[in-house]
Amino acid sequence: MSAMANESFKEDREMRQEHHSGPGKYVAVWAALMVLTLVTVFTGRMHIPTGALALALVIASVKGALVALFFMHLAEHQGASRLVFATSMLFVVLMLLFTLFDIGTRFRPALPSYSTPEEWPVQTRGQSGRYGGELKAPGTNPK
Amino acid sequence: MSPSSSIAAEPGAVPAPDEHHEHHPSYLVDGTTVKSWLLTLDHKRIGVMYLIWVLLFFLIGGIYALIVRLELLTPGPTIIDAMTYNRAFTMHGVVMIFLFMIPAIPGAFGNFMLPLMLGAKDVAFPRLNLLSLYLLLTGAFIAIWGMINGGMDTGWTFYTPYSTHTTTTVAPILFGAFIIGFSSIATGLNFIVTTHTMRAPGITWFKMPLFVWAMYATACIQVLATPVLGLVLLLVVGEHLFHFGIFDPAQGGDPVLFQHLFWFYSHPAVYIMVLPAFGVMSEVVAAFSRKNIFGYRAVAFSSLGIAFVGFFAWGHHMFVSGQSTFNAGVFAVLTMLVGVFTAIKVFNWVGTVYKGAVDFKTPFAYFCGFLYFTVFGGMTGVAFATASLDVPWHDTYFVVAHFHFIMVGATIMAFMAALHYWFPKMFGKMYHEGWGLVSAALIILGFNATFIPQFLLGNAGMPRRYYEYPERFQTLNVASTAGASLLAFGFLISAIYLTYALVYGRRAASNPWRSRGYEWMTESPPPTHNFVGPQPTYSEEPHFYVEPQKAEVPDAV
Amino acid sequence: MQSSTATAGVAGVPHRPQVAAHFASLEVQNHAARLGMWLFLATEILLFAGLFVIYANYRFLFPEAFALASRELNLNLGTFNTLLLITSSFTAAMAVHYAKEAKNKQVVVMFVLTILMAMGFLVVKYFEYAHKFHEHQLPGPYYAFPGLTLPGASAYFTIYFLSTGLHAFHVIVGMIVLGWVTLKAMRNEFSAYNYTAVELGSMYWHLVDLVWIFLFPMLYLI
Repeated sequence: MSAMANESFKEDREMRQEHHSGPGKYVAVWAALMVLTLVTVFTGRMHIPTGALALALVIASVKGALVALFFMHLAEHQGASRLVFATSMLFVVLMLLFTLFDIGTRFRPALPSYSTPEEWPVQTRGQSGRYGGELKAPGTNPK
Repeated sequence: MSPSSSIAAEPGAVPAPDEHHEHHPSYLVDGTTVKSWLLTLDHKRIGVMYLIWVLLFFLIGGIYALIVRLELLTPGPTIIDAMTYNRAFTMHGVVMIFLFMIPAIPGAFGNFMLPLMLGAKDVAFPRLNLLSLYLLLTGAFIAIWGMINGGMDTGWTFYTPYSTHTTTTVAPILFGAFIIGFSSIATGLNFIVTTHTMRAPGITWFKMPLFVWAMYATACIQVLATPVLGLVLLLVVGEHLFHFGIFDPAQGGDPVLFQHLFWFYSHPAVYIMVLPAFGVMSEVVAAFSRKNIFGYRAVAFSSLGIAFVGFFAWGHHMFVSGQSTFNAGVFAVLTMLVGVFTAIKVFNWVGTVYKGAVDFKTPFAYFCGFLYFTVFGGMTGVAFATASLDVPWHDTYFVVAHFHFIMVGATIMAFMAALHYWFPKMFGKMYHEGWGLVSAALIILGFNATFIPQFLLGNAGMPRRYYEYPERFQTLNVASTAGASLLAFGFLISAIYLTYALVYGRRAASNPWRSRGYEWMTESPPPTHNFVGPQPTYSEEPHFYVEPQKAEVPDAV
Repeated sequence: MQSSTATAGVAGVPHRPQVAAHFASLEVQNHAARLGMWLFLATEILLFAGLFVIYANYRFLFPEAFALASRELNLNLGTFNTLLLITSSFTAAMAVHYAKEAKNKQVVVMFVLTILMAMGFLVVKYFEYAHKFHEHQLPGPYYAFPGLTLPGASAYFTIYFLSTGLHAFHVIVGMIVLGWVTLKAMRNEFSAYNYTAVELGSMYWHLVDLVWIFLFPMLYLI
């Protein structure tokens, strides 16, 4: 069986450069994660009227970044692994955005009944009646 | 790079010497027990098993298609009752999409060719590769069991709330599709890792064959999109069993959200089907025009471009289902971008043929059909992307004809082209060229005769999935059914001469097309570990042909 | 014959794992395994993303009901579980550290601690679920909690049970994976040359943690 060679020299080189990090870093990350958890619980209990969820998600993203970068060693790995992780995150965000765009700008009667949607910064003509007015009486919808 | 740099295992136009044959039997005869096939880890044998199974599923889906077409021969009931008709078109869609078009080219030809094209001995994870085949079969058998014991009448899109309330057998079929999703993910994951880590020295990213680029883009979609489908299918099964009401408007749910999640997978899934077809055609057009591909990087990057933009076009399936007009506008623009990337490919293929020394063999005949279906289907696609035009055409036969042209037409053409182009590579036998051209002509004509009447029917306003229709639509429906019969006849001829060639065909030369593709640098059929002797060195571009005029002087046909 | 992969650890304890025949070197093989794991984790992220999208849309439609329903959850238990899972993630990371130094005993200790904390997480989750069943704070049509009758409250609990249920399933799978790696560590298999199994198992566990880091504020803190 003949020896095989691969083109992936670059990955090969990265592997050798990978340094062995001490437990100190893990302890520091662990402590930061614990503190951030307590911070998010504290701010969550305050029930801030606007932006509470945004703040909670920012803290969660910082925590998630710490886990991915240091516990999962993404900070040390170059190239493909980072690309995979970043791409998956990008697609999650885009999937969220496009569905929220829809539900935020949709013609109101096409939303589930009894829903009380939050205010949306963008107003489109479709949200109210066809000619910019309010909803028409039942049975008079345009054909 | 100098054109005269050496290729270690260049087989040339003459058959490869047989001297190694005793010590290195081809993969087909290296181990002849049933177990050596069923439990093999060799990517080539797994590819052949995939080929056999997807052909069987193609037959099942085709029989359902013929049942549907026969039923529509007359305006009223013809051969089956309405409920059976609903089940038949659902099963035609489910089988053709999940069991034929998605696994066909990646499973059969991707598995076989990817390692050969990368100069590797196997894919990165051979066991996972075998597992993906058996996951496909497990899912297929669960789904087919469900079809026999009840069937499903929702259409392949499983739209809620109907799919959560229908009394037909939803759960096993959706669960089968869920398992097939795992198979698709396993294949995609394997191909991405293989492309990243298994390339032989000399095969840099921009010296990979274009089929590999297309498979890589396909694999990215498979990995990123399929999990969302898995979740959605589980939710629909859960809804059907427990009625949580997440997608049920009667319980405060939003059925349009189901469509968002469903099409987040199922629109990119169209590119899972058609990108491998583009890859096959990039190989075929270079080999049979005897010219290097025109605009290699443009073709390579447009595969990735289609994969990325194709993800954010899903809303064009929902123009009339309650989605906001704002989203409709955004998705309409993004959908048209797909047309830009596809056009880049089409122009590059045409540029490749231009002034080439065209060898009009069966694969090239399929290439011509492919180009026609892609351009016509693609142009109706751009028309559809215009939201205002989509509204009257939506859910008519125009949609059916459109996606059969672009998605099915392109994929079938590429599947047949790949089957003929790589037949000598895979089995070491030659098929009958004359019959190949005859059946290619019949299939292309039959396809047109089936779907051009459907374009006209849709434009005249005949809705899709209807059991009965007014008298005035009958002529075109009869024409469509006649076309479907012609299509089936063409496939029957292919099946006969290919089976005959498999058994009695004359032994093929190592490289009967004198192709410069990397996969032809080893014997045909290849030995178990792909290479005999030293690993080939890959110093030239994958489609490197010297100027066709000059090339034809020493070894004219 | 057919098989082109070599199976490691047939006889004795191999100091260096065998390289499968189709790989150029051990480094490339490890790189392939790690990249494959990252791709698998990407599919897991997209799987949960579907639930996140459903959550985001219904929270947008029913903001009041979601805020009130989330206060029905036990924040103390949720916080405790979060801290537990983060600590278990820390011990899993330490296991990789010890595996690189060939300290297999410490690897076993760290993974056993991780698995114990995972069990603790599930026990706490069980008590939370039991309380919800007792109060009839259940998905969809099974919802019958008199204290909160706003439309959308049942959707909240559907999403709560679906997402925590899917997460709990991943916790159980993670425990099985880590248990299997622990058995390998007990056989002294890991060293500076061979710690891929520890690394990949621990990566899976970090993903379980990562998902919970997002689920926790979404479900408990709005």
